[in-house]
Amino acid sequence: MRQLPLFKFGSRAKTTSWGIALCTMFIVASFSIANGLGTSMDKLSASFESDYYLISKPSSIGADYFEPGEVAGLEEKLAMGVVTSARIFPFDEMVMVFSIADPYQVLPVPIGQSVDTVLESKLGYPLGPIELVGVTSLNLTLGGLYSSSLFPSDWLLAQQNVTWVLTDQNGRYNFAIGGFLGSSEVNLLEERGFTVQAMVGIIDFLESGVDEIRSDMSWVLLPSAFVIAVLAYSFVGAEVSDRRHEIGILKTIGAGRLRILSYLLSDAFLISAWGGLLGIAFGILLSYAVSTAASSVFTSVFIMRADEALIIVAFLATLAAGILGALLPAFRMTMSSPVSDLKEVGPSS
Amino acid sequence: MAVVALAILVFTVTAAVLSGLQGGAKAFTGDPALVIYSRGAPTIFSSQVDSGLVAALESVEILASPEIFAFCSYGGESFVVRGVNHSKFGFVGPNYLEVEYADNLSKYDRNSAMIGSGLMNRLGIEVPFTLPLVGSYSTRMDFVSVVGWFKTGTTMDDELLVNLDRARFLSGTPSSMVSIIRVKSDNPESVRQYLSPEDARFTIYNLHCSKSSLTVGENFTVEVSVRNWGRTSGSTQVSLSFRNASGSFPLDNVTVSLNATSATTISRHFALNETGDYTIVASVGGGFSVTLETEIEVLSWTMDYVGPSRVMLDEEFNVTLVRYDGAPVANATVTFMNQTYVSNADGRITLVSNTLGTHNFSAAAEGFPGLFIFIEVVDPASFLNEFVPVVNWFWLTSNSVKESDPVVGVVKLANEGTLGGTYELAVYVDIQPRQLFLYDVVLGPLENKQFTFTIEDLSVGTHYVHIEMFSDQVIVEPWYASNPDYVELVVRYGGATQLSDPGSVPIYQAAKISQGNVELALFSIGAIAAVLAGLSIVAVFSKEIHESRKRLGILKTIGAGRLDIVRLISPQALGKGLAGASVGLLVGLFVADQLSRTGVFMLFGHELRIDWNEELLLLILVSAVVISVASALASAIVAVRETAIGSIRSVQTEQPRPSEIEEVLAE
Repeated sequence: MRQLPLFKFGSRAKTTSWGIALCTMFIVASFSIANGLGTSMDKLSASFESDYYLISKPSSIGADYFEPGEVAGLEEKLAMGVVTSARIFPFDEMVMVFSIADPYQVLPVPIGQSVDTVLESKLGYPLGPIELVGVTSLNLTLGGLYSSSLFPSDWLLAQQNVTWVLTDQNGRYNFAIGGFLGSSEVNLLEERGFTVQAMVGIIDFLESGVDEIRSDMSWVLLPSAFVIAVLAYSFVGAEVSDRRHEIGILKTIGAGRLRILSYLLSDAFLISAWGGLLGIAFGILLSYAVSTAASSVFTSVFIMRADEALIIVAFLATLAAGILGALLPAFRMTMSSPVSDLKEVGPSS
Repeated sequence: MAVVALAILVFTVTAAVLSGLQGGAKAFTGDPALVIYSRGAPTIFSSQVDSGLVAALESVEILASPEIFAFCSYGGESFVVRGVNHSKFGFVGPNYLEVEYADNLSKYDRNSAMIGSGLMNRLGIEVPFTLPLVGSYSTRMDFVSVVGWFKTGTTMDDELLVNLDRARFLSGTPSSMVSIIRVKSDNPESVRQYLSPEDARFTIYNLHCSKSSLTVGENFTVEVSVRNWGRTSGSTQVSLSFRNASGSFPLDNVTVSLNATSATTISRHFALNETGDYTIVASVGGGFSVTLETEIEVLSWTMDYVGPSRVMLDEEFNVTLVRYDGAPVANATVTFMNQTYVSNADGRITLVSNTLGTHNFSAAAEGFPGLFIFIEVVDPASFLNEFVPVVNWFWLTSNSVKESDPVVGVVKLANEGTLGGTYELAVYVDIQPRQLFLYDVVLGPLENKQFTFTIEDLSVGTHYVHIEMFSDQVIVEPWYASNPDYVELVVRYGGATQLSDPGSVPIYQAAKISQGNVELALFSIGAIAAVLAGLSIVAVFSKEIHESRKRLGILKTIGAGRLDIVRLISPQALGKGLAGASVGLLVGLFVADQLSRTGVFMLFGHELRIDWNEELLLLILVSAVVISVASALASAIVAVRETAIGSIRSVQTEQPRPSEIEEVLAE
């Protein structure tokens, strides 16, 4: 049985298609803006590089201590350390004291410390005997200076045993610096419960910013889908109102409800698909037109880029909204009795 | 009506969210305070303002808080780390609606941090908490102790507040710079006028006279710098005048044209014809008038003796005759020990002392009053055969100088012995160890010498200069006689920064995208959303009209004109449209507000918040009404276009042929 040409009323179908096309164009243009912003952000973040990662184990109180065995298999790519706060006397201030073990020379610049002394960077304390009070107290000597761009200059560098005594966490660490980790190694660490942070924060920040913008812009699907649904609803509603008598005849001669429903929905599908394709074409054109016009008007170039995946999403959203909008009038028509349908005055009666 | 309400609801939510997106800059400025950031910075992230501006603002009693941005992520959540000076931020930043500290912990500690309530929820942490942080632009790490949380009701609730130095380290901001300066003032407009005026604004500074002492009729040069710190070019008039005991008199009026944020120095030559003390005055008018003054002294022509006041018997010695300004006096007639000499082109005369005692030295030259001094001729055998330097007198040449002008001191030294040597002259300023100046002065046997020294860069205020048992004082005055702090503020910082309320800070500068592009794009989306809302309303109305076409056809048949149909349809469509729009508008505003509060929309680590200002509400209201009215009119036009016969008979212009139905039925 071939398709019943119920909707051969070109003007209404064309108008509806154009309306749907407008909606789809709106979706595509919005996605293009988000994509353009994303592209610009990607370019910006590409200018930063991060080969190093800060690895810590989260807990309810923050960075927790972990055993070296928890990073087994990755030791050669990690420098592990301890950082803790302690009170320093005679200055009676809280300071951060850290130590780091880098046997595989992971750090970009080696940093080491002697056995008996604590080193400072730019704290400005006079060198000499000091007492550090953490979980336990230690009498030490502030014996010199260290320099590192990696760690804050108000941290004190101590030997590993010092930080272990201060924290009472012998043989354990609370941070590690990973160098040149692959994505599989990062995933492995995350699976083991570690938090892995790229040590150049702007990269993650920009990338998540782009994701947020894309996520925000995806909300434009909502109004567009709504309008598409309303258009499809109006279109199918008007058509079944016109053709009710004929549909009644079809029902009388044996056409099942499912068949009637499929007739109506497949036509809504056709209208939506046609409108969607038109909209995608116009959306791409509009994106490039706005991009070109804006670039000539404004000093900087704002790229609006239509992405294949997002175009498919826009098209599928158009189809889904069209069919959903048509569902209500189509279902009503399907469920009405043939007798009441035939009571309606037909076009040729 | 339900569809109209839904359409307007969707439009309202879309427009409100777009507005929030466009005004997302608040996320970085935090609250409705004024913020200063560097003009020309490609991004607000990379804004760098001279931290000295904070002190300059505070000197004119404007509360200012420096802040530094750093960017970080933890546990998959990105957020802004805002470095603040907690003591200043407390006065200028937003009010804490809620704040809670962990026991015995202080936010003022070096490694302490305060977390916003929104960020605390996103990260799922509780205080106290040790949070690992990373560098913004280079490989760095830090750990901070989150000692408390706060809620301000602003986008700062999505941020981490740390000590200014922590953020400086993480972001790599130079020690003399900060990202932005938050400003609080009772009169924000005046702050804007000082720092970022739209129109041309002028100030003058660095008034200098080429000489502080000169003679009658002698030329001197007055220089003064003019700066336009406004955003547009313009011109102004700088008035130069002098004031003395007789009153004030104009010297010149100079018109200066300058481009935006540029400066120039004007220079004029003058001469004064009467002796006395004068005040040279430069002033500029306009909304920010400034007057600068400097003192000069006009002397009559004088001739000075430069040579020893004591010489040894039978010693040949040189003397030089100079004007007050050090220029040699040539052809002067000199009489010494009954002999007459004439000074050469260098003003020099060579004399011989061949008789013990005190002798007259007189000099006469054309245009100068006569000069008389005494020269003592002594027997060297009556003096110690040692180097015996003595300070006989000391004075400063000026009682007051302008800031950045040198202070000149004169010391009269004598060697009481017959051996020459080098004397280390110690000059103390305010008896400060760091302000000790040492000069080596060479003294010959029994020589008297007048030694001159200069001290540079004395700060504004009164200073005491000490040499041996002598001391003198000098007052260093600021260049800016009127509003000195303000003038310094605008000269140093005016026009170099951008002062803005949060709404005007372009958010997507982050991607180096011009604000205009983004506004155009967002406006386009909003406009299309409005068209779509109208389209859906028209579609539903058209369907309703289509179903009522029979009644319309009858009306037309019995004589109803097109205008009558429009009159009939429009009020109904308008009524339903406006009623639906009202419901949609109210529900839409509520939904948009709730959506923004739930944190569904994020923007660079901040929840997107909708600023429900009057303009936005008016825009949405007007748009909703326009959409409803336009849709109602469009629907009426659709109704008018239905033909009378077609409406009654429901005859369609395009129908399937009966044969087609028959074909289908046959299948």
